[in-house]
Amino acid sequence: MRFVVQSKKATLINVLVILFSLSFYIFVFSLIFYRLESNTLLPSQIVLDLKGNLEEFLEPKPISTVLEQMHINLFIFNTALLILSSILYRTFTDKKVKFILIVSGFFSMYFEELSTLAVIYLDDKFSYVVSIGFFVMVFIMTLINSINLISFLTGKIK
Amino acid sequence: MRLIFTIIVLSFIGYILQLITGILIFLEKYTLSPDKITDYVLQKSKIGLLEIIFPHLIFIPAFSFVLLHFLYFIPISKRIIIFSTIIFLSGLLETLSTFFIFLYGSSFSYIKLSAFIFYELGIFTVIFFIIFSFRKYHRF
Repeated sequence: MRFVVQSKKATLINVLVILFSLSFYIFVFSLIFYRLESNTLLPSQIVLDLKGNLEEFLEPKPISTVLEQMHINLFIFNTALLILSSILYRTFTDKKVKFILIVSGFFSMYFEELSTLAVIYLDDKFSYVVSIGFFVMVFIMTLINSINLISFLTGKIK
Repeated sequence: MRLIFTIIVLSFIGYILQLITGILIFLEKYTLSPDKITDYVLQKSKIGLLEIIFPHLIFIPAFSFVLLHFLYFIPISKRIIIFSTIIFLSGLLETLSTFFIFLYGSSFSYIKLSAFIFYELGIFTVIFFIIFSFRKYHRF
């Protein structure tokens, strides 16, 4: 009886992880699409979005708006990375690979978010850190998600 | 266990950054004066307030739940359970009191301010408590 219950629980977790992983691809796609549409993907676009341009009559973004955006992004990305890392922990991936993926995922998020303030207060060049940080974060999140999905589909989990 | 601890610490750093931006937004919008909190809230329309309140009503409980559930992995006393409950409820009260100011008047701005300060300090305390307790009880 206990075995049957445990087996059903394992099936439920498998189904949930697979559904979450598939949904996560849609999230990543919508995130990139949003950045493309709002012109905040490339370094030059990021500088223009944050600092504006007097010649084109574009006003700089108010700091309160920037902080609100950071506040929301940090919650979303941090929670997403926490869930992805927790699932990755259950897979049979090499420990060193897991460690590198998790640490680089979180750090790319910190850099991406904090560099937004650095663009405003320090130098325009930090827009490259924002842009690269974003691409690295998205790449790592997608990679972790794919490892999770393949591991759960093939049953290679602890 | 070391990898779990790494995940916890890294996600806590992210949440600390999120809390700091939250504090900066609060200081920028409301300041620490109850009168200014009332003024800011009363300037807004009902729809404008709901647009701020409704996402927070899921984000704050979700954030509190994610953070406080890590206490499950360390030995805790009844006092910690009560403290966690108060932190959870203060976060909720902080959000709801914005609407209460709009409906019932300025006296709720004192509750909003106190709940905000208690929630932020409580969350920081819990974060450091979990990190130090995890190191203490899970030797790796």
